[in-house]
Amino acid sequence: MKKLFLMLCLSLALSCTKDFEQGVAVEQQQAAKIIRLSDNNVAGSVIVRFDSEAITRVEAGVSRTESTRSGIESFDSVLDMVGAVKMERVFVSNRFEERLRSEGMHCWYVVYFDQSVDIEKAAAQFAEVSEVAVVQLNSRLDNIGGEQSAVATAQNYDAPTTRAKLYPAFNDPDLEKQWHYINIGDTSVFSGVKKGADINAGEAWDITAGDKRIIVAVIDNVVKPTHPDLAANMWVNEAEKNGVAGKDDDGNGYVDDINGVNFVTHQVDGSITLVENLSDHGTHVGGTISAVNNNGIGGCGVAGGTGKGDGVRLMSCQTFHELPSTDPRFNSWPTGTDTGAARAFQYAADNGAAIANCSWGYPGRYTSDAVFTPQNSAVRKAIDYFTKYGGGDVLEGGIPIFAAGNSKFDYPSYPGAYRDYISVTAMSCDYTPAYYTNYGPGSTLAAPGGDYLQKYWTDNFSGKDNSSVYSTTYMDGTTYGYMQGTSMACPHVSGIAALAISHALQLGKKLTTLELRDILVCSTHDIDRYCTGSKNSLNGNQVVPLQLSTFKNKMGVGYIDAFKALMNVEGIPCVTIRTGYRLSLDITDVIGGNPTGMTDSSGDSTITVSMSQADRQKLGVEGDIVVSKTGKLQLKCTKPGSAIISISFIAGGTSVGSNEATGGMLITRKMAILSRSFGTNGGWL
Amino acid sequence: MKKILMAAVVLLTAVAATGCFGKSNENPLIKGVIGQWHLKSNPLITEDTEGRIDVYVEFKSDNTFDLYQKDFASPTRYNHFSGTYLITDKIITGKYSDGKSWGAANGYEALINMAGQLSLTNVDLRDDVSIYEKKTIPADVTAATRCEEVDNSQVHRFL
Repeated sequence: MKKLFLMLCLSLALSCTKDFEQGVAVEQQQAAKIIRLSDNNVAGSVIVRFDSEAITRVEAGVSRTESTRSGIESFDSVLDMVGAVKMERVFVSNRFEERLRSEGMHCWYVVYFDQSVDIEKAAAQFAEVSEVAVVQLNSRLDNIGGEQSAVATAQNYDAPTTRAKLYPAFNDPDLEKQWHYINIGDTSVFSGVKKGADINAGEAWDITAGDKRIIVAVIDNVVKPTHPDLAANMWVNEAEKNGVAGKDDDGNGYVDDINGVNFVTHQVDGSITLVENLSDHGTHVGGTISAVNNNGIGGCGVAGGTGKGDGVRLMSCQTFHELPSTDPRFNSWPTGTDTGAARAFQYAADNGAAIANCSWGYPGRYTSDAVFTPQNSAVRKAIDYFTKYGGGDVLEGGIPIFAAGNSKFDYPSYPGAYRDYISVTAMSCDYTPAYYTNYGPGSTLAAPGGDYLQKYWTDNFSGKDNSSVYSTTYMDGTTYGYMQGTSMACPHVSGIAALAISHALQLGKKLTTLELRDILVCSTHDIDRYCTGSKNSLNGNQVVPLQLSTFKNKMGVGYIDAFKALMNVEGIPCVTIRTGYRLSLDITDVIGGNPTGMTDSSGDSTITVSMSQADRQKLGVEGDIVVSKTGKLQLKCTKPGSAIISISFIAGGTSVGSNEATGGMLITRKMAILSRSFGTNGGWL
Repeated sequence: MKKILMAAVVLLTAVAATGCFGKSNENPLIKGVIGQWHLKSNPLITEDTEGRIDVYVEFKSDNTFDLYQKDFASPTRYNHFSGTYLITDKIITGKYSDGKSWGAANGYEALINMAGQLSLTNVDLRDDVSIYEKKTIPADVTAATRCEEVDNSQVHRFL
């Protein structure tokens, strides 16, 4: 009897434990469904992904117009609880509906509800619904360039007068202010300026300055389409321009989208207009990419053409709406959100953009790629869609380029930090890292972003803006101005990407996104050699010294060179070796950057080189093919012939990014070896 | 008698010097290589490199040469080299106008085969065999050249 009682108690205890464990498991399961990409999320809104079986029921219950019914009873109960006002698909397009469905993008919905409801509690409620696979908090995005780094100034800022004409082929008067394109070492920029700390635009422009077939989506606040230095290079949706007002003439899901879409105020069936108010950031970014060149006004754009209508086209995907802090909407959903960004990437892909310039990121810290999967994030899903279906007729897929962030953090912001994306850090006019730039694993490469503190504190508080980036703007009635930030560095890379595509088209090639990515990453110069000494930085309002060694090996592979990118477009690198002699090649010539920074904890090079056994025999390769700690490729061939070798390295860290930790991207660069008794001057005989 | 003997010696010397008796001792290669040649084959020319490596050479009767080679750094332009050459027996050696020797330090063994092709085999590296065919150098090749010489240490572009 006693035994029976004990057994009963044990059975009950086990049963309770099991129930408890099951309860914990369910809670954990529900919690795992909730995705937070930021600590700063939009009130009154969440994004949900229904599982593939439930979506049929949802689609039967939801119309494309305003709806607060899903067709799933438990989900509808939550909608009632949170005071839902609207539920709609994140991704829409009549023209590409089949493609969206094949990618599972029809399963993502955004729900708008009472803004007073706690979003964490609302998310937990939605996560309890078994048909819901993911609940993503609708993150607010950081328009990188705000606060301490955005310093737009009036057009009539004192122009430096000591510079020679920088690029005689172009007649844009303000090119003289754009040291970031062609830096001749003019000390009016900054007393410590270094000649050549630029993107080497002049040499690139000798080859190409753009191609109007290329569309760059500027996912930002608005690019002012009527700006006199931008209007001619704006993308124009001819079907909408020549169509019926208020009608989606081209069936892309948006009405009257002539130069792009305002994704901030857009409601799927609502009216769409580009809003021009305080739209300095997007207009500045757009100008760096493609302000019209050689038109006799203002400055230049990296890929702004030659004044013959051949500049790359700017598509304005407005995902930010800069509102004064007193505006009641400031803390509500109309500013930059995941929903808007996700839609912008899809729109860019569907309408032929090859490049997406993304001078923004998520605020807050994420230390691995785990949260940023296509299953978890509508933005990631949309970026994948853009990468796959973007490119229009000029590129096989689209390429997104991100700013690293301006918070002085030793990690870049996501999405740019994700291992497959280019994240751009900022360099000043003397090659040093800008005081504000984020850096560290996940940072891919550097470009000029300006550094006004450097000028301000060193040169007696004068002309601080000269050392920032000069471009078009639209702020307080001005049309040109200086800004600094990784937001400004990012469009330099987008512009160079556009030049690379242009040159490929000149040569009759159509690049893939991976080819283009590798070309950009391998078109850099060492920046680590400048990471010594100190410069001024800010800690709150206090000026403090910033030790530049902090940035060593953490700014990405190096700073980008437009001319080098075009050379890399022309073909894979090729090295001629005198047969029988040992080659000692500086690997920088092939992969760019600073190979000495590509070392593991023991100081050995992480660069690996491989050649097939058949090729080794063909060329009579003696010994191992190795890269020394100083980045020298050692190779000896005893027979004449040609072969291809593969060089692999990690750009932006010492390990590839993963679900465990943020890291770099794995780049594999091919190189041709031509072994023969060439003359020492390169002559064939 | 002494005069007659002297005359005979002079005559024999002259005969020897001019290769008399109906048999010339002039190296046929000297005349044979003169002309314009186009590279047809070499171990470097493979499926991958075809069209990317293109070489024309003209050997002139004054022992100078002009070389036009596709520059790996540019898919559209040829580099132009010039210099002097010398044929000794079956070996051809040369120097560029900058004073640098050809890559084949001890020259190429030259042979003109029955098909009229010129074969140049690196004396020190017998696998390095180039076959050239007689071909007039196209005007667009000479027009699209640049005379600067390439630095062999540089990385070029390929494909």
